[in-house]
Amino acid sequence: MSNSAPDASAPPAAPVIATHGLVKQFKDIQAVAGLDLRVPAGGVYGFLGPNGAGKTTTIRMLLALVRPTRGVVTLFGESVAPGRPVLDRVGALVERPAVYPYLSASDNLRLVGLARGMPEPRLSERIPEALDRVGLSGAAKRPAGRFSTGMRQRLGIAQALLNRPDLVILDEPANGLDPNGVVDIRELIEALAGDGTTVFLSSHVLPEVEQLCHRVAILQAGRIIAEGETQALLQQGERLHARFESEPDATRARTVIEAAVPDVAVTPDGPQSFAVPAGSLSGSALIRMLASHDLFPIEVVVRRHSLEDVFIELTADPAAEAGTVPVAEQAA
Amino acid sequence: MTSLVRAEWLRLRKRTSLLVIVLAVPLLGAFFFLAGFASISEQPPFDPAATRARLIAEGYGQGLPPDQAEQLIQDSVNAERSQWESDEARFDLQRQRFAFPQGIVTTLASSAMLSFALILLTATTLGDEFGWGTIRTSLLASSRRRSFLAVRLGALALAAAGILILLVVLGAILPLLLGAVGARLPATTAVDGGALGVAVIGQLVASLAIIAFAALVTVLLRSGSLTLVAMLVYVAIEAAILTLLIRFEPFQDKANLAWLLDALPVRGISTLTNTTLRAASGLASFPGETVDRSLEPAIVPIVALIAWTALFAAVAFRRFQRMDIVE
Repeated sequence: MSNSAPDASAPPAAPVIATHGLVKQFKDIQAVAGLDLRVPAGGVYGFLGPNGAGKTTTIRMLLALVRPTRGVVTLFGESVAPGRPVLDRVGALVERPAVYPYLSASDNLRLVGLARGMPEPRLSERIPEALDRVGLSGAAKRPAGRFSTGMRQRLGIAQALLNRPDLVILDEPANGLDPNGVVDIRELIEALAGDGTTVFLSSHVLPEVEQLCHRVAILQAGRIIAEGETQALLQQGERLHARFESEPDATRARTVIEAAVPDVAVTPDGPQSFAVPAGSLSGSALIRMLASHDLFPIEVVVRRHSLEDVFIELTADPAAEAGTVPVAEQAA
Repeated sequence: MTSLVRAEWLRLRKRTSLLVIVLAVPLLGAFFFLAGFASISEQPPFDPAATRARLIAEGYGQGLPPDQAEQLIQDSVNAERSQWESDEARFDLQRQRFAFPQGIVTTLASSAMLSFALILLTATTLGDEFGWGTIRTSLLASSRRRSFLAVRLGALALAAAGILILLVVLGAILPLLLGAVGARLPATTAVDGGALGVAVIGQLVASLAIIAFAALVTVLLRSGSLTLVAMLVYVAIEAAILTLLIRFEPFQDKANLAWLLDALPVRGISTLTNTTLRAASGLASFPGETVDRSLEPAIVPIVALIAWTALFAAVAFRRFQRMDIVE
């Protein structure tokens, strides 16, 4: 996880991003279905979801590229609409970067800087710096149309960072990057968060998100199905796995646990083993309980879920898809 | 706004294809000007003796008494002289269009190329923003959509004005060039400066209407190539409407509603161009023709084109302001 997570002891700041009842309907498709989102200032916020969940549409609404059908979007407490000055505080990379193919990397950045109203001396200082930051210094004069996908991605990130925005929204920044590039971007995001910039990160590279984000929201079918601190979400996925010498022992042990702790969800984990949520029963309590029934597991281990496991589990859950899984409880 | 203008200047000046389109109009204008002059027939001076000899060789007057034969040959020589003089007057009239200052009117008459170039420029510059997805980059850099579109349309209007100025300059220079290489250019009538001014303003108004219409279509279709197709379809539709309306008496000649036809964009541009350039030039198409130099027929088209421009631009701005950028 990023070492730049906001100080938990500090009083809660106003959210950098807030949406309330956000809906986007494209003809007969509801891309976003009543989204309530609050992204606190500072740190890296992960915005996850399967393909078609509505992540990019949400991001476009945050940036006033797409008009919400209903609902409210605010950035830094100000409502968002085309032309609002608050958007000048945001840098963004949305999906694949779009660059003017006949302009050099340097001119593509100059164009963005000019449109942002940056004065020439500042541009002359910031353009080489931004190119250097994304590793494109050597290609500054090359037309962007001749760039590889990864180079375009880097240029897109440089465009987003050019004016040192307070909020950076990155939609799949690692797209098309080689492993070194992915590491570079991770370090870049960490550095941004370290500088106090709020980073809103949408990504399918879940190990990266797990490392970088102090908070995540998981979106499915246009709704948030889980939101909270990454650590809390991962802890929620911790399981106690118990393995026995024989299948009858395992079956008997499951019956004992289900009788003793009625609310616990015991899930089979092979013929001779099962798992229970770590939060509902400690390892020692489990062993004592089983021993009192002459049941002795040959192995009891705590397995922590990765964010990927949590993501797959949540997004595969039909109840979650229907929006019935309590959002706050997921991570609380 | 200044920074957006600077960004636009960077965006447009580094795109070679746009420069090619802008320069193509005056270059083609110059080519057609020179080709037009070269196409005017050059007949040799009339030689009565040679004509007479040819007629005799062809057997004119054979078998007739000498006095009757002489009369027939003389009449034929006179008829050929008259035909030569008539042709010469016609060719002279045609040449006058290429002499200074009539050359300015002649180059301005190549406005169909200007219209096509403006459609291409608008469809290309706006359509590629959608095609490349750079509309997103541009609006992320500055979310002031109206300003973005205003600067783009302003740049296109400036390009139109620039092309018009180039055409006027060409129209002044090319006659001098022709004279320098020994071309026979007759003295010509003066151009009506006021009418020429109206013609240039009319061309500019027509250009603005074309830019606004092409911009609206591009914003609606989000594609430059589709815009080109749509413009062709529109021209065909307007032609069909004209053909239909002209069948009804109120729309014929100088009937009550005939002026309405000139309010249609394509017909309006055509009427405006023809009326103002004719008034500026004053040159007849053939010897003896009376040229109507009245600017009155230009009033309806110019007012209608201003109204169309305002309407197209207003709808384009509204649509652009409200549209979802999903590129």
